[in-house]
Amino acid sequence: MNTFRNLHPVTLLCCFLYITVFSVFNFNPIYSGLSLCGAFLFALVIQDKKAVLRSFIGYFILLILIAVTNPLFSHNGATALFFINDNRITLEAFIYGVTLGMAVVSVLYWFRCFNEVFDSEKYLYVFGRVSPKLALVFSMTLRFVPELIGSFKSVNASQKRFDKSRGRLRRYLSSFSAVIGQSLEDAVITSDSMNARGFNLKKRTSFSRFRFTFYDAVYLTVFTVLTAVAAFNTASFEYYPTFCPPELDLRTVIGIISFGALAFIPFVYEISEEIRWKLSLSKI
Amino acid sequence: MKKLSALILIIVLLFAGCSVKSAEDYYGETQKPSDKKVTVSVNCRTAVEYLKDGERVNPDILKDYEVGFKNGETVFDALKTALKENRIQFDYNGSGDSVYIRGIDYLYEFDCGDTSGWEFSVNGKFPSVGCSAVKLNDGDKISWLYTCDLGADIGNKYKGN
Repeated sequence: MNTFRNLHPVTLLCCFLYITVFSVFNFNPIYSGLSLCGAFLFALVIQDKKAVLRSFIGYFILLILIAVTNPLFSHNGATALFFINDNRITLEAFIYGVTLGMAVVSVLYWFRCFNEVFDSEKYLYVFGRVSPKLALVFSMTLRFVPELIGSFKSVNASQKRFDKSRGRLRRYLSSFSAVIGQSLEDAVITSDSMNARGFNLKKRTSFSRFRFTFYDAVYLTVFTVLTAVAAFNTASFEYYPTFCPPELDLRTVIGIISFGALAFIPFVYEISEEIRWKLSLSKI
Repeated sequence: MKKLSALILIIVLLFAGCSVKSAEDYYGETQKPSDKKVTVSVNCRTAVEYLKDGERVNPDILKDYEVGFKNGETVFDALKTALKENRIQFDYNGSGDSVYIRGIDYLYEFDCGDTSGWEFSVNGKFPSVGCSAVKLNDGDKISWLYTCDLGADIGNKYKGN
């Protein structure tokens, strides 16, 4: 099930934009953790569960790598765990790295979900008003990479059958050159096809199925209000030289709750739609 | 299996030549006595003035501390020894004769504006090379001073190229 995508493109774009920008700029382990949980759960419901779980290992390694690398370069912090030559490796730098890693991984997960939810038609719809050329280039570029990988895989598979004597590197190189040739040809065909369909003609109208409904307005308002509340109640978290977490007063709690709500809305939306669907099924 | 062993080899090579010690062991090491001595002092008067809200109170991080040295050791080695014996944190970049001190006692470059950082003087003169390129002489007075204005507030005005 993927019903969250049925919201209006503008609402969707604002939701993802708010969450990702907030997770990157608010450097706080609580916020990063909430964002990561929200993104992971949302990915689990809208994408293939096995693929998401499998990808989690890769993302987890990335997180650990960032967390371990940071203390090797930043020696600030009062709690020295051990020393490498004359450089102290500190707990503070490690926790900073963990927060950084969580922020990076959460943004990667959000973009994963975003790609699932926001297709090229929505790109054209949202950015087409501002700049049609930009929207076209954007959607073509984003489509290009998966397409290239897909055609590389199929060419490589047939090359593998075709000639078994060659080494892997030589096979990859010849597959690569074939794929590049193919994509150049595709580019020519694309432009021909665009011309044939009247690209760049004046007085063309376009039709899109998207309607900005009452629910879209409600959700957009909720997203904006939650982000505004969270932004005005941000809690700065000091790492160096010792941890200085923000005081847990009403303001901080409100900020954390509103950001948590923002990060979990996509997941909750999806789950509640699914429950409603299950309940509505006939029991006969 | 091949990949794993290659990874382990890379990690081992990366950390070859590094000595890993616990904090207690590191700070427990003592310097061999030497008859040649220099004095090291570390001062952040300008930062105390800059950070008005009482974040830093004591301008003297280290006051006229005597350390012994061996022939060929540099200002960087003296600072390292002095800070180690007093258990003061520091952070540096680079190696060889181009070491740069980024921070001492959690006070880092750029903490007090874009033109702040650590500079050092030997017997009142500010050498225009890195601290690991200046050899020590017996009786040298080394002071590490924090500046908020490219050295102008500690008597080493930046004259440009």
